[in-house]
Amino acid sequence: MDTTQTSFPLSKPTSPEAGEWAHFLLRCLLVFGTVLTVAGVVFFVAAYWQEFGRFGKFAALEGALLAAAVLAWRIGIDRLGGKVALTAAAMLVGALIALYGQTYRTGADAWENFLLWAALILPWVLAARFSALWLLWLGVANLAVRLYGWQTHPWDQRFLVAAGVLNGVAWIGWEMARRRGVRWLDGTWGPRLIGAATLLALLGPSMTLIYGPISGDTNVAAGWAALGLLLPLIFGSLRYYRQDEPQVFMLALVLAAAVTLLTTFFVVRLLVYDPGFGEAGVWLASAVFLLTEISAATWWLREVTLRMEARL
Amino acid sequence: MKTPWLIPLLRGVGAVVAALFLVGFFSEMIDSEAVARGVGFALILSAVLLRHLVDGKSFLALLALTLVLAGEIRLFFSCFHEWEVLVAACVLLVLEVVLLLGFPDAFHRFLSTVSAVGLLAVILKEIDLPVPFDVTVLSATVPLVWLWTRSGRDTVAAEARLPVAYGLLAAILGLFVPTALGLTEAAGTVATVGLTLAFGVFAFGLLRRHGADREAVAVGLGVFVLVAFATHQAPGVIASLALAFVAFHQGENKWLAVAAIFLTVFLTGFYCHLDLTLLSKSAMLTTSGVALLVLRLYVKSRILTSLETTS
Repeated sequence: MDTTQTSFPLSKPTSPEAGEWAHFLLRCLLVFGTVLTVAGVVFFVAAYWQEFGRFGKFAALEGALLAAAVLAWRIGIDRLGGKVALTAAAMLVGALIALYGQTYRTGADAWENFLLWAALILPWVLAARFSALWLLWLGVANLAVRLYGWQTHPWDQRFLVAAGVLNGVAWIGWEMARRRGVRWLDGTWGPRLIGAATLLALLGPSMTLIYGPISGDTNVAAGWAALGLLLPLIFGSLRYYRQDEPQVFMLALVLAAAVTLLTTFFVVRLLVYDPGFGEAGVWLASAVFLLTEISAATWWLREVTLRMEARL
Repeated sequence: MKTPWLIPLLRGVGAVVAALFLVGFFSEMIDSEAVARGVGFALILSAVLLRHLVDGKSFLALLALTLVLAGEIRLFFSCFHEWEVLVAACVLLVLEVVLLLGFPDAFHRFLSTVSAVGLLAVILKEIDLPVPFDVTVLSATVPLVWLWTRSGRDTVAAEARLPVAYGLLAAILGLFVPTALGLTEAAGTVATVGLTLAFGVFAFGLLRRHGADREAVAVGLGVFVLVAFATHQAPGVIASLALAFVAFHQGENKWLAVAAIFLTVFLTGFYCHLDLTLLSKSAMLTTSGVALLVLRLYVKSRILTSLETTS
């Protein structure tokens, strides 16, 4: 029986203090109250959108943008309310760019609009020192890169590698800043999200490279580039999250990527280079191989968890 | 230190993929459906035996999990392919309940619970019961509330209950997805009423146990009932709010995040499928938003002041 997981959260004997409940409630009411009110304004604008006319539409959107920016300034971007208001303003910039493109038929591609959006809100992102706004910016930048790829070279995986590089730089940068004591980057969910996005983006082209002999895919350069980035990233992360910044979650995430890569390699190796195995033999051997990998990975993760526990 | 949830998840997902490889192996070897069912049953039996003989963290325990999953996948395919839906669902429901009790693995218990609730929904739909999905949701809610209110002193029993509770929760939230998508055959008002009652009883007991004053309890439950009334066609909203409450109570951030995601999905679905004009929706949204912000001011002035006075 797994003795490391002994508490049953659904019947935890202690509960948050009354003050914590009150603050949780206040925060929920602020977030949902703001979201519902903003959604109400959006629906109101949508109801009269056709009758607004060109200037009316711009006035409505720019008015909302200005109101959000002024609110952020009045509250102060060091407080949560100010940061949330600035995030809302940054989102409205995207809506304004879309409206501009739609009204004046600029002919700009979607990726250009996303790139412009990312460029315009960057000063706010830098000033706000708010992790959620950073993630919004990274999401917009990712969309710009991916849309550029889809629109210009639909099957070219170099753009997945580019997205992987962008996210990888953000991931490493986030971790370095955190280590240097940047307090507003303290949370762990940001690097987890970006780390998962990085690994996913690089896994795609790497697996395509491995599948190459079967699928006949020609993205060889992108595949080698992705694999060349992914392998050091996997080894580096395993070392970093075990020794420097102990986090079993990240170790498990990185190991999952490694297991996926290895299993794909094993299956393709058997299918292409050992035809004598037969399909049934390939399935059986792959099952045994995968079970061995998973067993070793979870054993190692448990050992690391115990060592971390002993260090605490 | 608790085992991070990604480790059992990694182990479980690995077992599912390995089970699919095994199913591929048996499909290559066996042509007859009857033999395939026999092999599926034999795999399950051998897995249960093996699991009872080995340590939970060993390679053999992982192998047992893979074998039981491969057997179940094979039986599911074979039964639904060869038999009538109602018969297949009933047989498989019995199998899942037996495995829930007889196969001591957290990941499997989670999957068995989700499967059992899904099969129950299929059975109730097949026998033409009115509001079958609402009844399924309520049938899953009753054991869930029972699990929540149980004492957690006995850790061995707690380890067995935890994946079942999570499975019930996942199944309930999953059953609301058709409602959010606007499908006609989906859970609705009956589920909302049942969930509100169940959560009301649970939350009331909890708040009173922690010494919350009468006014706070009345305001909290009043708001909850009002939200339930306003969103009675979308039971997912009230279920997500209840989950957020419980997740915060237990300090379970991952469930708080799940609750926030589902709440966003269900609220969006609710507003998108409301049979109202855009203007009416706008009025409804703005009124609720402003009401929540006003409520926030009230909570801030009354409850925080009383807390400061107490301390």
